Amino acid sequence: MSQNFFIFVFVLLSNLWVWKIFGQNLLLGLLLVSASVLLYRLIMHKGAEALRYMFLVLFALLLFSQWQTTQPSSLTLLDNDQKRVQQMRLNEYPPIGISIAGKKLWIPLAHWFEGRRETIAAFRIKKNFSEAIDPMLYFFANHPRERVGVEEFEKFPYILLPFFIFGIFSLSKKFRNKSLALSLLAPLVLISFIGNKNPLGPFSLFPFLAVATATGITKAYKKIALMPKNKFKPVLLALFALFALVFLQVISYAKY
Amino acid sequence: MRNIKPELIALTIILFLGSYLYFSKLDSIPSGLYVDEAVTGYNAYSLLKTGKDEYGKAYPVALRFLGSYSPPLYTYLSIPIMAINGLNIFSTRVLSSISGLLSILLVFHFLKALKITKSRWTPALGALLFAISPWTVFYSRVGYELYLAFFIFALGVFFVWQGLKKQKLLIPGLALLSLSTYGAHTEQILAPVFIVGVTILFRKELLAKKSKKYFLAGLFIAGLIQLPYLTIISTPALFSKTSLFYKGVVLVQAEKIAHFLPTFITFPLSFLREFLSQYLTYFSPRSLFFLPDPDPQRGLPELSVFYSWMIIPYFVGVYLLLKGRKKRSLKFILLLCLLAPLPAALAGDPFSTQRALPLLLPLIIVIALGTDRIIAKLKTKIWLPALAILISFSLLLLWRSYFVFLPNERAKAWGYGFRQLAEEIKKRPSDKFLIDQSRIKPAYIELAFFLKYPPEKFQKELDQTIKENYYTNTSFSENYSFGNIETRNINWEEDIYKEQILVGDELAISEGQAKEHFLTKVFEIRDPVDTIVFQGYKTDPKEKCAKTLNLNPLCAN
Repeated sequence: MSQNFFIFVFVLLSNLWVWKIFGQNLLLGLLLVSASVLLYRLIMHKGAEALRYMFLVLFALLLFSQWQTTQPSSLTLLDNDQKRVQQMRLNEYPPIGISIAGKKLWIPLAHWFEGRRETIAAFRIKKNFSEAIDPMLYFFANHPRERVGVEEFEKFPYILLPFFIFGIFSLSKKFRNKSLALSLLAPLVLISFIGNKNPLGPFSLFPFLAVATATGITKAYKKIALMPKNKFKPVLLALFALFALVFLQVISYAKY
Repeated sequence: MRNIKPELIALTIILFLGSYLYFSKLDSIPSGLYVDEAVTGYNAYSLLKTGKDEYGKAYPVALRFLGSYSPPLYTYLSIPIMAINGLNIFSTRVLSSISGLLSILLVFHFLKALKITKSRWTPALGALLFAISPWTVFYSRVGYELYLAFFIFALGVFFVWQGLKKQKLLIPGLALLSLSTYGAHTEQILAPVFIVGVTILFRKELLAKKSKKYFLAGLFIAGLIQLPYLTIISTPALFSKTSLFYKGVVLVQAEKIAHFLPTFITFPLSFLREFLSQYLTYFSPRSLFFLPDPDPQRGLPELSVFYSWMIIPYFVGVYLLLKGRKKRSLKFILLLCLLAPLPAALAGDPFSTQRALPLLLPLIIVIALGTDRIIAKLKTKIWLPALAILISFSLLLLWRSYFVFLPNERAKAWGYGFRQLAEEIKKRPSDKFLIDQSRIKPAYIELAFFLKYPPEKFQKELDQTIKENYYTNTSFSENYSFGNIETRNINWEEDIYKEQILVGDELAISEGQAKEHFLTKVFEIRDPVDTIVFQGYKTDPKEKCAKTLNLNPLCAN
């Protein structure tokens, strides 16, 4: 097993998210890990065409699972309280009109913004997208801006966030790689439409997150490896110790 | 006319747009007057009339506003405005609006001076994005210290940047940074941290032979500016905001970790996570582009601090910033970006737009940088109409949130009703009013503001010991008594036996209580969405005593 792949496996398994998924659905866990491994191979080694097709099939299954396990929420239906707010807001708008050749043309802005189903759907899609795209969801269980009515849970240890950012930065030139772009964009689009009411979270983004984080760690490791030998080992040990502490911390938050 | 650069024409148009956004309906939107505005306005008025603040203290170094010991610059600079325009909402807010307008000019010149963009239009475009950003618009219309402090800090940062090339400018730069600590609490922490950061990062330039004397002279002047603060350094007044630190949260988290790890490591570890989460939330796309400030007074309904579409130039800008981090200009912006949220990240509020306001400057530069790169890749006939549509739509969203929803839905959070309550009090000069304080922000200062209560009289009616221990007596009580007004919680066992008007909202005085105690409703004040904010009930001690057979000892009076 190469050093880089070892790092990838470390990221893949050293998070509570994957174990939560394994705990609830073994098949889904296997699917997630397989898709992640294939994506990693495709990004790092380009891989054969057959590998790409395999990834596409597994990833399609993953997206399907995301859709199937997400509690459907309408993009346009309003509950009673939302209807009350809608009515209140419709009344808040002043009349807007323009005069053309002595005739007043009224512009129904209130209706366009508050009443039209298309607008309501657009605002909800925006909300769903904002929740899925936020790194705080994956590294801090959305703390300190937890969502109302959603049971947030720990996913990746927060110590990995800098590596994730570094990884994205390193991968930026590889975004032309269709598999990588697909692994980010397809889940984002899907979740934007189906919403976030999923007890396992937006797991279809897991392969992308794992690959980006592993890439970040690999790059950081290469930089640390350039240090003089007498510094290399202590720095590596310190980082590993910090990771272990944070991992225990995250477990304790999840448990208590 | 031919010599006028098109960028300057664009800047002039942006300034006109900014003037409209920051000054229009300034006295009525936000509706009401927030307590921090009332305390600022009334103290400026009091200083104008008497040379002393509400407690009778002559020109304090830190103003004892509701126990917060606010930096005094905004209040002092509002005095001439009060002298010209009188005590009113417009006079209280206008200094922020002026600061907002000047900040547009500053952002334009800063973007030009940084020389990080390709298009000649980007500085004007950056100034436009800054001018219309909800973060700017919101705080440019708030009648307390934040935006003025932001402007002075940003101006200081700009001069320091310029000073790296034209060394003489280091002197005003460092002096302005020092002055900004008299602007707001955030700058009290941020300005010194930024000076240290710049000194470390640009030590070669700053300590080079040609700039050393200017740098040291700047530091000396900055030190001199701090002298007034040194007079109160041994008092708790200068550290009034330390209570905002989330010690309790860290301790609770430490207890959880204690199941797995030894105690000595649990506190630093839980602090690390809490601090990092608070800090990083200031860069989170969800917080910056999608969610409003969680505090109803500080947040815009349905609008975040930037427009959602700006997430794209933000990502591009962050990428360019990290990629070019070794360039001097980008290193400078990166430093500012990393330091700006520090004060906010040490306080418990999740994403306080108020405390993180200085972050607006580096973030708008990052967004402008990203926009610059995007438009450089596109043809003008594509990016220009696309941007025009996005900006028009953004302005529509701003209008919807700020000018339609905010004055209605956030009226109560902004202290709506006190102006009307003051009118009711004026109508009944012989009645005594008891304002229930249990569910509202300190009412005394709102009423003093709207009644234009004579400051010299107000100062005399307060506890005189506060003035004597001004900087050491930090405990603040909301209970006040002046004129025919008393503000405190209603004592239902005693207050109904006194001739007075009890004032509170629907929960403070219920219909059942009114019936039980023979109270008569004399007025009712509703906010724009028809919620009762205040209702006044006249007591009837005679009837109450008669019905309770004079058994209560207070009936003897």
